Amino acid sequence: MAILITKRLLMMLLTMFAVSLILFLLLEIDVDTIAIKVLGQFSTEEQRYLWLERNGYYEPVYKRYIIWLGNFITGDFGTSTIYKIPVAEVLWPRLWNTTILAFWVFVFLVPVSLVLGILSGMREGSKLDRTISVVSILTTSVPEFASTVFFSGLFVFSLQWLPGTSSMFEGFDWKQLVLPVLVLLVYDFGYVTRMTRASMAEVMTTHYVRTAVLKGLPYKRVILKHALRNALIAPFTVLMLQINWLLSGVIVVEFFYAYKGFGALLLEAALRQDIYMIEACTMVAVFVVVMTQVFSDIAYTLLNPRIRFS
Amino acid sequence: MSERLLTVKNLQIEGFADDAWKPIVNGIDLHLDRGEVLGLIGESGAGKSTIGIATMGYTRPGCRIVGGSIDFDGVPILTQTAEQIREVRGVKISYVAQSAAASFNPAHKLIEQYTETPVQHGVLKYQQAAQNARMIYARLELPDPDKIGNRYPHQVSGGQLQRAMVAMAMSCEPDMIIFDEPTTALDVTTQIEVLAAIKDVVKQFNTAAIYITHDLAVVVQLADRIMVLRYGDLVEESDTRSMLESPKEEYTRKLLAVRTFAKNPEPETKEEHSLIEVSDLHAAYGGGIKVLDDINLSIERCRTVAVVGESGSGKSTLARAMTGLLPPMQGSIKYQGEELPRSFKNRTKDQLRQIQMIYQMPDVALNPRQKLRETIGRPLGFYFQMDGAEREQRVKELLEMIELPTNYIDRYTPELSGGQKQRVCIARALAAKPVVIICDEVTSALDQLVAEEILKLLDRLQKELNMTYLFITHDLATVKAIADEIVVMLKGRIVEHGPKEEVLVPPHHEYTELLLSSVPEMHPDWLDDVLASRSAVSA
Repeated sequence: MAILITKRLLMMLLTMFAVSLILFLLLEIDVDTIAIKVLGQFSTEEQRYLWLERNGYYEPVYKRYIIWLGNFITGDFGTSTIYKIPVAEVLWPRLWNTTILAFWVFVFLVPVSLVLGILSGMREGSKLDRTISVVSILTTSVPEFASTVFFSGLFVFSLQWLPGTSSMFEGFDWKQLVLPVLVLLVYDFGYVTRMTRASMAEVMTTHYVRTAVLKGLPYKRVILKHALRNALIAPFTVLMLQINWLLSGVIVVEFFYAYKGFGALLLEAALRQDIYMIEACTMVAVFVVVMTQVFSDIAYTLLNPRIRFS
Repeated sequence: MSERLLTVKNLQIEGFADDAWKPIVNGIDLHLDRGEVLGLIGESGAGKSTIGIATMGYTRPGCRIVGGSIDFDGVPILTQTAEQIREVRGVKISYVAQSAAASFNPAHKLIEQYTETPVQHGVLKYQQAAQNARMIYARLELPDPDKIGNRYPHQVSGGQLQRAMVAMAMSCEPDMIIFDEPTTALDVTTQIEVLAAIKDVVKQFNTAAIYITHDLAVVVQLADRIMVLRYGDLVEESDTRSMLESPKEEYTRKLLAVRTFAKNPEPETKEEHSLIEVSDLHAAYGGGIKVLDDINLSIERCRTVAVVGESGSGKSTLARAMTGLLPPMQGSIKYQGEELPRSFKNRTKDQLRQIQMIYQMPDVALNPRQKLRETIGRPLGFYFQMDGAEREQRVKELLEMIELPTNYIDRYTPELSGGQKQRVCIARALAAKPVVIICDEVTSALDQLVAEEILKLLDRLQKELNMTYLFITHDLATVKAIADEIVVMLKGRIVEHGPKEEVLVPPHHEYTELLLSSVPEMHPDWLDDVLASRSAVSA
C-alpha cells in the first residue's frame, strides 16, 4: 500500500512537471508578447526592453524555467496585471469560494445521485427505473445557461424567494448560495445517476448476486452487502471527476450569478490576458485534477480487493 | 425404503426471446429420493440448468414458470411467497454454480461468504459456522483449511475455489444440492479432485443432489440415475448402469458414442526442411514471468501436431508467439527453412497468409454486424484482390467446403448456431489458402456432438487440401481423435513430444500419465478406481 501511494505521488509530480513545462513553453518563450501583456500595447520599445532586462527575461531559457518553477513552488505566482496585486492574494480567496460552492453541490449530489442510481439499477426496466431515467436524462439535457435563466425567473422574479446575484459583498449569505448550487445539482445529478444505474444494473446480473439470492438472503442484504460494494466502484471514479468539473466547469454559473469563484476568475484572466493569473489558475487546476486521481486510485484499491493484493 | 424428497410434475418454463415467449422446458416430470443423486444431461439448450434452478423457485431473468408443480419435502415451491421461499434456499436446497470464480463475491473473504448463509438464517452462530467451515475445508482437502477462509476468491486457484463453493453449499447441511456443471470450467486433473470432493460430501451427509452436466462420462461417476434431456423434453431416463449397458434411444446412443471418432494417421513425409521449425523459443508477457521456456518443436507438412496441457501451461502463448502476436524474447521460428520475423508487423503479407488461426470462441471471433459474404470475403479481397462476382463465387465454394448451404451468404453470424459459427471461422481461415492452420481450443466451447462434427470436417479438409494443423487443446479426447503427433506442455516447457502411438502408449512421462488417467471414462467405477490406484501409489 505504501509503495502504491509513493508510486502514485511520484507519477503525480511527474505529471505536474510535464504540464509546467508545456505551460512555460506556451506562454513564456516569446518574451516580447509577455512585455506587451504586462506593460500594455501602448508601451514603448524601450520601456519593454528595460522591463524585460530588469525581470531577467534575457537569461538563458533553462535558467528562466528553473527560477519560474521555483517561484511557483514557493507560492510566488507574480503580480496580476488586472488587480495590480500579487496573484496569490486574489487566487486563494476565489478558490476558497468555489470550494464552498463545490462542497454544497457535493453534499446533495452524492446521496441524491447514488440513491436514485441504485434504486434505478436494482430493478432494471421497472416503472421506478423508467421514471428516474427520464427525469435524469431531461435534467442533464438542459444546459446550465438555460436552467440559470429558468430558476432565476422562478425563484427570483416570480416567487421572490431568493436573491438574483451571489456576489456576497456583505459577507457570507447562504441564500445567495442556493441558486448556484441548485443549478449545478440539477445539471449534474442525472449524469452520475445514469452512471450509477449502469453499474448497479450490471452488478445485478452477475453470478455472485444470483448466488446471494440462492443462499436465501433477505433482498436488502443482497443489495447492501453483495451488490452495492461492487457497484460503487465505477460511480466513485465518476464522482471524483465531478470535482474537476466543478472547479473549472462552473464558469457559466459563477459568471451568471456574479459569484466570486475560481471559474469566473479564470474567465476574466483569459479575457484580459492576465498572463500570470492564467498560469497560476492552470497549475492549480492541474494540481486538483491530479490530486483527485491519486485519491481515487487509492480509494479504488480499498474498494476492490483484487487490485489491493495483486 | 427411501423417502421421497422432491417431486416435480409437468414443469413448463418459457423464455423470452425475439419479442415472444417460447417454451424451453416442456412438461418435465422428475423425482428424487433422500440421498439419491440424479444426473441431468444434455447439450446446451436442453433446459437442464433451467430445471435444476427452478426447483429452488428461481428462474433466470427473461424466463418464467408457466405450469406444473414442484413439491419439495412437503413444501409446494411454486406457490410459496418470496419470504417462504427464502427459508428453503440455502438451508434446505443449495446451489453450486459452474464458475465459482464468477459466483463468489470478489469483495468478501471466503469465510464470510461461507458463514453468511447459516448466520443469516439463524441456523448457527458465527463462531460455530466458522469452525464448521474449517472442518469441511479440511474434509475437501483444501490446503491450510484453518486459514484459507481468510483469503479473497481471487487468491485461490480455480479448483480450490470450486471446492470452496461446494463447502459453502454444505454450510447448512441441506437436504439437496443442485450442482450446475461444477467441473466444466476446470482442467481434467483439477476436475478429478472436485468430483472426488463432491462424491465424498454427498455420501457423508446423505445429501440428495441433482447433477447437471453435458458430459456423460462425468455424470456416471456420481449419479444413481440419469435423465437425458433435449430441447426441453425428456429423451430417456434410467438408472446409470442400465443406461450405459442398454441405452434405448438413438440420441442417448449418440451421446455415449461421442469421443470415438479417430482419424487415420497421416503418413510421415520427409522433406529437406520441416514446414515449421521452432527452436529455443522463450516468451513472456510484458517482460514479466516467463510463459514459454526453451521450446523446440518441428511441424512436418500435412501433419496434425496437437499441443496439450492445462490452463497456464503456455500452449496458447505458443500460438501467439508463432503468429507473431506476441514477439518472443529469444529463439527462432523458421518457416520452410526461412526465418520468420518475430513480430507479425514485420512479416510479409504472404507470410501472414500462409499461417492462419482459428479461435476458441466463435461468438467473439466473428463480427456480428457482418454477413458471411463480408466475413469470408474479406480475406479474399485482402490477400488476392478478388472482388465482384469472382469473390462471390469463391465465398460460395468455401461455404460448400464447410458444409453450409450457399444461401447462407446473406446471413449475419448471430443467426447461426455455435457449430455453424465455428465452421465460418474455418472458412475464413481457408479463404487465405493457408498452408498451416493453428487451431486454438476450437472445439472447447462447443457441445460434444457438434465438436465431433467439427473435428471430422477438419480431418476431411486436411486430406483434401493438404493442410497442416497445430492443434491446441486441453482435451485429451480431442487429441486422441485428431493428432498425428503430440506435444505435452507443463508450465511453459515441453515435457513429452512424439508420434501419437508413442505418447499414448505406456511408459508415459509422469505428467502425461497424470493427464491421461484424469480423463473421465464412460464407466461408473472409473473415479473410484483412479482414486484407489493413486492413493495406493502414494501410500
